[in-house]
Amino acid sequence: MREDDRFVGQLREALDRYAARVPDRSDPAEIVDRLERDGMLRRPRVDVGARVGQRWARRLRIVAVLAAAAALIATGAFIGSRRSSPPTPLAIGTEGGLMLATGDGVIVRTLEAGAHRDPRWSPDDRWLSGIGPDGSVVVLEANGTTRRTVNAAAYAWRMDPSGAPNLVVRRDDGTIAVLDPEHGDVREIPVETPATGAIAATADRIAWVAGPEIYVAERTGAALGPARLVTRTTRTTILQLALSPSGDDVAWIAADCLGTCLASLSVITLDGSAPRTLDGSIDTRSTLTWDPSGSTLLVLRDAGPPAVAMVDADDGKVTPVVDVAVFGAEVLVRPRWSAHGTAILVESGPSDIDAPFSKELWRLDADGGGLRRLATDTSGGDLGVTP
Amino acid sequence: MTVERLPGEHDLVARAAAGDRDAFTRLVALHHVSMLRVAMVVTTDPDLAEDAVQAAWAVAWRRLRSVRATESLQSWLVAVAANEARMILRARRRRPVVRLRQIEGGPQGDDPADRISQLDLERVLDRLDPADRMLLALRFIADLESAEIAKHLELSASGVRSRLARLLQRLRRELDHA
Repeated sequence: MREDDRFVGQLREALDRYAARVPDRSDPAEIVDRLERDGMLRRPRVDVGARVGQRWARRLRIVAVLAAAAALIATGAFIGSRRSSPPTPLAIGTEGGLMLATGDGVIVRTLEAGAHRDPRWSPDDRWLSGIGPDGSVVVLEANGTTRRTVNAAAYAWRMDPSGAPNLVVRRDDGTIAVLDPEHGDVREIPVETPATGAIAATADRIAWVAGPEIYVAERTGAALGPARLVTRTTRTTILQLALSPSGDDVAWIAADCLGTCLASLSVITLDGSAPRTLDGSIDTRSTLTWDPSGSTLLVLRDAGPPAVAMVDADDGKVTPVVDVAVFGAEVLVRPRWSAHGTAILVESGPSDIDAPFSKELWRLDADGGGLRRLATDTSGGDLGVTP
Repeated sequence: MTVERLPGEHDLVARAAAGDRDAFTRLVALHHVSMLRVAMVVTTDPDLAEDAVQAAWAVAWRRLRSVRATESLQSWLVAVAANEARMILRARRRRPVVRLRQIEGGPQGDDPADRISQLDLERVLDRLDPADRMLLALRFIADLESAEIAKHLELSASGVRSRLARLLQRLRRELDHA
């Protein structure tokens, strides 16, 4: 279509008149004053990436890694034996690979090359999982001696009744299986309705999403019993699923779209009693984790500036934890309780127009205090933490 | 490509990026209205447009140093404003509102048949996705070329052109029926 088309001319003129409606009441000095009052004029922390460019930042970081690794080897403190020392706390999944890093973000070791995302530690900190370049889940022992891969569209770690870590996976074809990473055994869970969404697991139960329905399979003796329907939701898509620490309740986030709409948070007891919708202002990008006591759910709310909040699992009372303004950022993602329930983790970043999406990982206490930055990743990767 | 900058703007940008508040205020004076007009088309709400541009200036303060000398400052600023406007809409989840407005008359001697009425345009804009309004604003209010728009929306230039062509077809259809 030629842009000297008469319609385009009319449209341009109409848009011009429309845009001119917004009155220019502004005084430039007042705009800048307001930025200062809102605390927006402080400069961000200067990091290597800002000064010398990201490519050089990575090179410098590699040098720092080698120096740190050499120091660790020299002192004999390098991770080497099973269970004899705690694992390096940070796992980072980036375009460069799946890596271990110290609590300060210094990379110590690359476990897998190639793009990886969603790094997660097993509950016993022995294993690290991540989604590899081909979409399969890679499971690695933290000391690097054992490696497994499994086809999975969604998965969850659990400790089985014997205290061994398992990975419960949902495959692309809707089947569910349990992987024992130590022995490599894969055990199928019979499901009548193919699983389509999130999956959650405790020692005694596995729950999963099949369309608008939530199913659970419970342990009977040494095995998991057949699946049964827990509830059917009224929303189009179930985005997140989480079993309470006791395994008695299941919570979920559901929405009617994946983008610009609000999601709702609901809970039901696994016997089907006490269904309740707790909150209707959840960000569709929210993660969902229970606090260690099983009393509240940690979410990202969308009722104003992005904010992390705890929602009471009984009455839906909202307790704010922290909002985006504290971080001097525009976006918050993936608030969650740490694997051992000792801290809240959240990642902050700039608005979407900036690329790559540089994130900072923070830890804070349940009351929003004790805020501490754990790491900065300028490659746009995912950050996983233990404990 | 010739990059147009106002006389002395390069120096202003350098000083503002270094933290010179007076230089930054001068940049606000030069570019605020352009950003406001773009944000108005994206948000369709004057108050939200002002909020979006205020937020955009906060981004600009932090990220001015990332604007390359070969890049148009105005195109960068209006793109930031458009993106902040889109994010404000996402955060506030605006519902379409039927607003009653007095139908404007054109200046003396104008033939109404030659103009798209503001009421019709408003109704059509309300029905568009914010991303489409952003495309309209960057193309027709900020006068950015497809290549510049592509850079800010992380699309290819041909992708921008084809999206714009489909959007114009849709607008022609809806405004003809209005």
